[in-house]
Amino acid sequence: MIKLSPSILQAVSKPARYTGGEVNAVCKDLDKIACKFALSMPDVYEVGMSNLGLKILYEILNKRNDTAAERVYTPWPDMEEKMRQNNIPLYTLESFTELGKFDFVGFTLQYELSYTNILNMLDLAGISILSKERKNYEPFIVGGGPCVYNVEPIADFFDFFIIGEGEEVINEVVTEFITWDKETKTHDRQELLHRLAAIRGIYVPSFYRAEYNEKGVFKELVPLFPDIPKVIKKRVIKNMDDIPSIEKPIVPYINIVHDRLMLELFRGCSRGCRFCQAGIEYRPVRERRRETLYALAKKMIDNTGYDEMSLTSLSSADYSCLPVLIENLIDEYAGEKMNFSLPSLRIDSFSIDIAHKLQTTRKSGLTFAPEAGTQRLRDVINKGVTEADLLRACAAAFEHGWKTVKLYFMMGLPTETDEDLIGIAELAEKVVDLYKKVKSRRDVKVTVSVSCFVPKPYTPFQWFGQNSKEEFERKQRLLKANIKNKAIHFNYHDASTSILEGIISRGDRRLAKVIYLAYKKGAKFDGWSEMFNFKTWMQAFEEIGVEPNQYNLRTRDVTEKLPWDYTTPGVRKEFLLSEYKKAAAEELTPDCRRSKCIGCGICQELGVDIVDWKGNNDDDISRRDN
Amino acid sequence: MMIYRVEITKNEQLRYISHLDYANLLQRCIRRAKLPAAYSEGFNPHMKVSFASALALGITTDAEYADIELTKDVCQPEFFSRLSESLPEGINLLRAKKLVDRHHKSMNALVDMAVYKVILPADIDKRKFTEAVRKFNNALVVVFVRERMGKKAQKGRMVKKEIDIKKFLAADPQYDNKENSLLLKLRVSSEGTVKPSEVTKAICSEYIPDFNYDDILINRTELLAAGKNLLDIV
Repeated sequence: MIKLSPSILQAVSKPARYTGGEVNAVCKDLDKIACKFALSMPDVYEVGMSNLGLKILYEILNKRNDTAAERVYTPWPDMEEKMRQNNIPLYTLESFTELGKFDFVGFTLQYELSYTNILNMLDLAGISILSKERKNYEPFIVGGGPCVYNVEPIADFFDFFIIGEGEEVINEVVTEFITWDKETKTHDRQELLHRLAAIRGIYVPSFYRAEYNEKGVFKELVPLFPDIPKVIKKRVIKNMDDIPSIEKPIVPYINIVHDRLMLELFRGCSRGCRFCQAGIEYRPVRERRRETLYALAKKMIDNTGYDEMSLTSLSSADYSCLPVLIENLIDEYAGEKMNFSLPSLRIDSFSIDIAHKLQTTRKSGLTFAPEAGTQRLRDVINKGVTEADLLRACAAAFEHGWKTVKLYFMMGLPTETDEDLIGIAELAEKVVDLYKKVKSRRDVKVTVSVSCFVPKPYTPFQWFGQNSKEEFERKQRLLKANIKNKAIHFNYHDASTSILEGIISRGDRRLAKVIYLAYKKGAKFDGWSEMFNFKTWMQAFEEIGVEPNQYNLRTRDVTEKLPWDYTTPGVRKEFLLSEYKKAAAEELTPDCRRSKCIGCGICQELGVDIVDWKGNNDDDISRRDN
Repeated sequence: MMIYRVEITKNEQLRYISHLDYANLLQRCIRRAKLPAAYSEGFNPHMKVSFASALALGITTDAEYADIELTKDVCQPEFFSRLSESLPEGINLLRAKKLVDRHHKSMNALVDMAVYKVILPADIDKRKFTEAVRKFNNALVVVFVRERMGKKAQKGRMVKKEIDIKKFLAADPQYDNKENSLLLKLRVSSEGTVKPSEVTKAICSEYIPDFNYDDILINRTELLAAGKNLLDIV
């Protein structure tokens, strides 16, 4: 057990990040446990503690009597320095056991810019960074989460990956481990990995060899054994009411990023925005019954004492029983001063009415995501939202008393012209004018936040060449020059983080050396703008001799094999290609949820169906105003 | 409407959380206990819980006090057991008393003394430290330079202020050689107070320059109003 002296804890910022013991944390006697599983998000405590997936897995694993799940996050550099000075290895927050003593260390892969933190954490734990160098006594390093659909850039560091939803497969992995652990005499890692590779959804990267053609472009991934799958398909939960979910989440002592309960209404979103990776990864839409949700909400509230709950999903306003669910929750918890909130709003007045009902107390700002400034470009990305929709929604918001609106956009989308960019400024201007018309006042604030588009694997734009850094910067300047109204605040970020994300997200195995070298040169917390150093990365690319532009700037040939073709969410490539073509033709594709199948192929490939409880609204109140 | 005054602790487990986080934690415990807590009116309702003092991050205590307002009457044994059961490892409920006087003075206004025990690093030179305490106690005036990060106009700059630290002492600091601890009785008034760490610094700075202030452990043992415990005065 690791003991931390006050001279360390009192010398670092926010020491409660490192002292554990929170309400609902599960502490088991590790000597009586058959499988020790460390769960991690490679970011600081406040970010890691907010992750929904880890909360789910934590409870599922700890439900087993034979298994203990414990948490570990990335120490902030001040703590890292103290730990290195005092030879303190990275440890878990439940039993203060060093990470190296665990059977598994699982990392959730939420964004590419957290990868260097993984290497740093392994190093701090004294665990071999390269999987091929790991000894039999070292933990198995496993990855999962949204970035898992292209893990080739970090394939060298992981023993295996879980592709898709983890609720069921994590139990299969643990059970297989415990069996192997009892049976094996040699404790040969390869033997367990072979067994795991037989489980659906498990990808063991070292069992495959990557080949490249003479031009240095990725050619294919070749299985090295006859008994392993050529392509690994994601795991998917068929019935969201059947699987265990969060009932007793840990209540942190310090304020975390999402310091509230999260009730997951449903999984998936089939609106089909063409830039959106989550839309494909989490298909199909599977709703929970509102009875299930109501019971889950009650358990979480009783077990934590939280006074705030977020009704979470990719597009919460699409939940078919939302009005009734909200009414029931408000009725039940009004006396206890419970706040319910929606993390994302659809651009329509139904959403505004719901938000208004929820926010009877505070009137914080409202956020909408039109994503693009002109109708033409919104059609390209299949956003399915018109300017009239946005203005109607804003008018409804202003009438309800809101006076701060945040609008999210992207720049660098396929087919984008300068006209589309200036359209962003014009749209914001129209929102400001609308406020003046509705309220006859001028105290409105419109924040325009524009991010740099990163094309992602398994989207219709996976072949598209990203804008260069210079082009992004030119566009930022252009937009800035076109925003003249003082009521409009323009937010944008340094383009270089999006460039690096663009390189890694569509990278191949050759990037492992670059990531490793960047880490060696001191790259960490790359997702934190104050810590990010683009030069370090560019030097790493140069020294390793990998040309970064081939991954992000190059428009790929649609016949080319892609490094991520082997770990799939089950979508047909032909579907993505047809969507790519429809994008160019500015044609829309409807939401498959309540219209006919659009042929993405996921339901058929994985044997799963859309689950929609629209008919389950016994005491239905009229929900659609259009 | 009724108010309970509670005597609670902040133990080792919670040493590194701030006063605000500690207050949030207690409020969540009250919610878990399903006690009928009262809330303020207005756009941003707050649970009506008030504390006697704000304890700094890094300090534990055997003597923290809070007044908890309820909307309905709950009998003492029930209040005590329900709240006790919902508290995590880091807080113990020692006593709870119903306030009889509805127009009671706030604890903040009543408190005039705080008693702290400072556990010193195991490796200090005890002889040197004894000598430092003796010299400190013999001095008539000890000027201490308080440094804090500036706010507003002075943001980003270190703001220095000289204070006579002895003005804030209710008694001479006592060093317990065997326990290697320092007993501090500090005045609390409208003119402010000093931190136990500041007194420790004032004692050591001149005689023990290499003293590691990050290596001390501070516990507040008592919080008093005119010599009496805050629960005994109601």
